[in-house]
Amino acid sequence: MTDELMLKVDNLCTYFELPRAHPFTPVQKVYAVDDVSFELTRGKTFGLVGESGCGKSTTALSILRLIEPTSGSVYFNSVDVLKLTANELRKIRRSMQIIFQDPYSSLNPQTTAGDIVERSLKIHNIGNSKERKERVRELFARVGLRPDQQGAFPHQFSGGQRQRISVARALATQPDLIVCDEPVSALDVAIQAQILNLLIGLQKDFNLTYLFISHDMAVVQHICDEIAVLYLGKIVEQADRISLFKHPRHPYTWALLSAVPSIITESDTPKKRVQLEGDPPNPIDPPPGCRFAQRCPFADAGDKCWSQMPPLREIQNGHKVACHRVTADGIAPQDRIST
Amino acid sequence: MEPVLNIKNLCVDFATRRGSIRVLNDINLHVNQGESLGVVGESGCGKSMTALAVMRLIPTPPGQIAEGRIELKGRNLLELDEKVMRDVRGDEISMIFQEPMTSLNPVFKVGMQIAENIQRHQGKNRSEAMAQAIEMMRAVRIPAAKRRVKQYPHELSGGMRQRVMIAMALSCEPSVLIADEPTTALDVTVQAQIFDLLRDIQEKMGTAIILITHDMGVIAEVTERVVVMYAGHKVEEGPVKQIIHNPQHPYTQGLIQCAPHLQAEPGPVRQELTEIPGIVPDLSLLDGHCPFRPRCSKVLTRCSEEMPPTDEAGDRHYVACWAAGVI
Repeated sequence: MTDELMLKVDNLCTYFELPRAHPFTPVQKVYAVDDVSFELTRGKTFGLVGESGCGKSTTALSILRLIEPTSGSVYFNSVDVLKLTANELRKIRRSMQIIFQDPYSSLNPQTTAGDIVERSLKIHNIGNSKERKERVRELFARVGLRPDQQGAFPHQFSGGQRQRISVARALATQPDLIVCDEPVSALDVAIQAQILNLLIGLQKDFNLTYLFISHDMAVVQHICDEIAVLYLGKIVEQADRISLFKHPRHPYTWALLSAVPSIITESDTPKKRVQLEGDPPNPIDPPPGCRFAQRCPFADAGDKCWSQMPPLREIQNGHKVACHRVTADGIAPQDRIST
Repeated sequence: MEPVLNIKNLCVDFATRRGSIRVLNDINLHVNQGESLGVVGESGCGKSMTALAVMRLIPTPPGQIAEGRIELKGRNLLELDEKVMRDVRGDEISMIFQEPMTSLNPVFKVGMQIAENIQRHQGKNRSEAMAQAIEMMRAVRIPAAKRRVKQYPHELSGGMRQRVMIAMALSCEPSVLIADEPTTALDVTVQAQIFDLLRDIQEKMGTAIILITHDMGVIAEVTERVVVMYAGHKVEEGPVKQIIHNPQHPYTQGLIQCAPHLQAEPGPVRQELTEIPGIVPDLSLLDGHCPFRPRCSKVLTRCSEEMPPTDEAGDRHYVACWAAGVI
């Protein structure tokens, strides 16, 4: 079985220039996404995780060109999305859709649910009026909404139902790729399970590819085949789900996983716990070394951690890590501490 | 041991255009000195309402505490007049809210906001209060506290703001601290720092903490005893290990099963999660029988005839369900 490559992101960079405080001060840049590369295979789910401000959403929006990236390339079905004209872009967007985090602000409050879903069909000139109505009815049924709810406005729905409308809208044009930007973060736990199950079911039925963005490690573990951990705009670790959660190599991934409160912790083996000091630093003009060095419990003074950016390198099949302290045979610094 | 805070048969009504709605129904809960009690449930189940009732902060009208007693060290808070209650708030009971940005005043320096509470309750003068505010900020592990007191809330990160809230809440060493989703707006690494801090302070001061959250993982790691709420009712209560490993109420079982849990050795990808079908009911449509019945997988005919009483289901473990394996 050959895995069909759906999306290939190469050295994607998105920088934002800050307004100058004074005409003669140098321009400051926010390195929101800095040299990010990854690949997505058809029918799989790729997860981007990290804390707020790490560039997860900017990466997603840059791929869809909802934010213009600074440099790099994004190949979607072998077409470089970043080189397309506005017209071509509109056409290709039919096959790449997005579900946003906040189901309250991502639906037009003055448009009925049915129109919201139908609009994406109209924009892409799909079918005539009658066919479109039929398609909307189908979509409503598929995402678990009643057909008579088509005439209702977004405020008449609960959070979970609104997210179902977003899913129906994304699904309308029969896309290959759906970018899910924190699709369940704003929902209650019980509703979260309903939406996750819906997304899982749709993926099976339509062989969808998901780029799944979340800060919730448990959700990512549940739904993603491969995961990249972002820190201040850089991928610090990337691996398949088994390898990443079983053997996190980067000290940041390790700390992040150990910070997640879980009901399974009080098993026989107490969790090795590490606590990071401070908050994620500001991505404005970061220091030259490893972005994580300031908070890393293993960064040595005088070490190259502070002066050189560690490259993302492969240590086992498919398991990549960007850390000077991880040895070539994949021994991570946290393996040496005993508790 | 006499509980510090004891809520007895608390009922709260809200007047709406469609008539009066009971948002809290016969809530009984208590917390002992130095104990952490978790209150868990979906949004709209009455967790925050309970906290507001204890603080006497329910907007009246439309809200109204219809029945019950809230005893703080034996004194019924519901009988105090507003003036006395103001001395209690911030001194004997404090509260931390979910969104630290909206609970701090943006136009005052954070040091002043902490000192204000100390001045008000301990009768100290401004410079004494400010010195104590700096002490408090050190206690909540804010680095460079001396410089930070002069900053405004917008100059601090989310984690730092929440620390300021905690410093403010603890400045008069209250006997009870209510934390309403204190870390929901924060990143996990910062969340871990905040909980570590709360644990530490609790050990030092012996404060009783009521932690309101929707996250079962947080409950498991931070609290000793749990109350599960649904649609304004207490449906289950017990020691945290009992609740997590041997939940009796179908709602508690659902809450635990529906969330994916982080595992060191993950199972197969994309397994179907066990859903709790439907949504939290409209409180105006409750009929006085079990409110969870429409979403319940174990429903019996009796469930739509009578409200289940709260029965003992084990050591300090109580459940209100006809289908539970009650001893």
